[in-house]
Amino acid sequence: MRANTVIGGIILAILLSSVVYAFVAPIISGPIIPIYVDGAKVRNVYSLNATQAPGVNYVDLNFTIKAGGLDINFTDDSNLIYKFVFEQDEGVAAPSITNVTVGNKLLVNVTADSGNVKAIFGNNYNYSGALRVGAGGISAVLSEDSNVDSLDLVVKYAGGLSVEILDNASFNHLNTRVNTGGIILSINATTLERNSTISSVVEVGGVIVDKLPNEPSLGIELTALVDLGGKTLNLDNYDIIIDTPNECKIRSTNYLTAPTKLDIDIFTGAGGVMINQPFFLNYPMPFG
Amino acid sequence: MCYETSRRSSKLTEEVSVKYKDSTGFTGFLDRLGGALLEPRKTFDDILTEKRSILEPLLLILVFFGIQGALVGVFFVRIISSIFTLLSPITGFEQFGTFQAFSFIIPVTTAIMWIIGSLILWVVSAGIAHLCARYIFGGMGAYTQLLKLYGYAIVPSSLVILGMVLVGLNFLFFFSYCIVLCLIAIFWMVSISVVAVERCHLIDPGKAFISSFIVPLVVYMIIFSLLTYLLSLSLGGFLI
Repeated sequence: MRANTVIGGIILAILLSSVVYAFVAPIISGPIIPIYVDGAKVRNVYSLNATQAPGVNYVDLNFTIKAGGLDINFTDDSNLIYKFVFEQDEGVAAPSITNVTVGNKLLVNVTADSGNVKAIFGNNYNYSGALRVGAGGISAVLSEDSNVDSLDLVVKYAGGLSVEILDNASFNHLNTRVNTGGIILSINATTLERNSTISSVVEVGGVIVDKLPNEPSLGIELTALVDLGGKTLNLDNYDIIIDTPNECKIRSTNYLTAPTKLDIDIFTGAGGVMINQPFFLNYPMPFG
Repeated sequence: MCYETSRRSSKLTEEVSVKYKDSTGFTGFLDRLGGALLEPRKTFDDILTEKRSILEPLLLILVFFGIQGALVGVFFVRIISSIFTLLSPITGFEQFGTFQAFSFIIPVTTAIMWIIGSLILWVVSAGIAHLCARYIFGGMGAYTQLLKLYGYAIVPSSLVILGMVLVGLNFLFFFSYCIVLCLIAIFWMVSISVVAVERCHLIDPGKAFISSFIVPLVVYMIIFSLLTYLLSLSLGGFLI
């Protein structure tokens, strides 16, 4: 057989195999470049309870993660001091966690490069300190099990921060700060354990305050200032104290007589503030 | 014309000292496919002497470029599939493969487009080369003969098909191999086109190179520039 015929046969084989491939590939082949949407994660749990740190009443947190998400919750477990559940990509350095006891105060220092963290705290300790995320998000739910003195929740560079306050939450001061991004505040409480303040600062971006309660048991005063930008305000039976295009101060009707008070102070550098609005606005309806 | 044909036949007889018997049937077809790659000069002389019909080169164009178009379509499908997979946490669609109809419509559409485009290029390229070889360099071939040989000149594009299949199997591993195969195929196709013009018109290889590569390239560049200019005018001079 001549070489030409052999080469011709090879060419024909290439053509036939490519025809088969063209028919089969759309059905059985996956994406042309493998994309691992949810790759393998390494899960590590770090926890500390009352027996491991006796005599502690106060917990000072210094938590920093460069990139990722942080979910903060409180539980009714009175023995629990903290529980951090880290979910990180394979190959990412494990977090560094140190505990130092000074008298009745526990200093907890946590640093991590990246990952998603679920932080759970008990109801028998008084918490303060700062939890920071470089780029990413923080979500915090302060329930009736919370017992917070002063807590800073900070997104250092870019991302989002969501805080939900539930009934009978106990905190003195909550400081929320985002450099570029947004903050959502949801006050779903009719009463709090003590007088509380929330400070929210966004350099570039926006702050959304979900629909505020107007109950006799909880007086709420909210002050908002936008340096460059505007505000959207829905009074909804709140008394207005100050109302300018970029500044406002409102109070619930029973603020002065309410047994517990919540003061909210909002500042946005460049961006906007939406107050007392549901997060998803209704689609504008035509007139008539 | 009669004089030119007899002159051509006598010149061919002089140059082709050894001539194989006519290749017919399936083996002959394979022989011509391989011969276009390995021995284009002798194969083209045989084709010209045997006075084969244009159906076989037309079939080659349809098959080779149809497959290439289909493979490009398969690439599109898989790229879209990648995007769907990436967006699946948002959209909720796990795989683009869910839409089976699109998996076939896209390759069929691209195959048809590729075939139409390649037929136009085949006719136009052969036409430009023929005009140049015949009226500038005094060649003596006919347009239909050159069209036939140009049909066989696309056989090296089987390397492009091979490269595309390999890339489809493993994109990251075979991508560089595919580029090398494509470059080899282009170089080989240009060389075979030169031989086609040379044997059809019986002119020097240098003149054949100018006729088959340089002049068509210049013509296509001028057409492309004109189209770009017209497009930019229609867009208000945006592209200038």
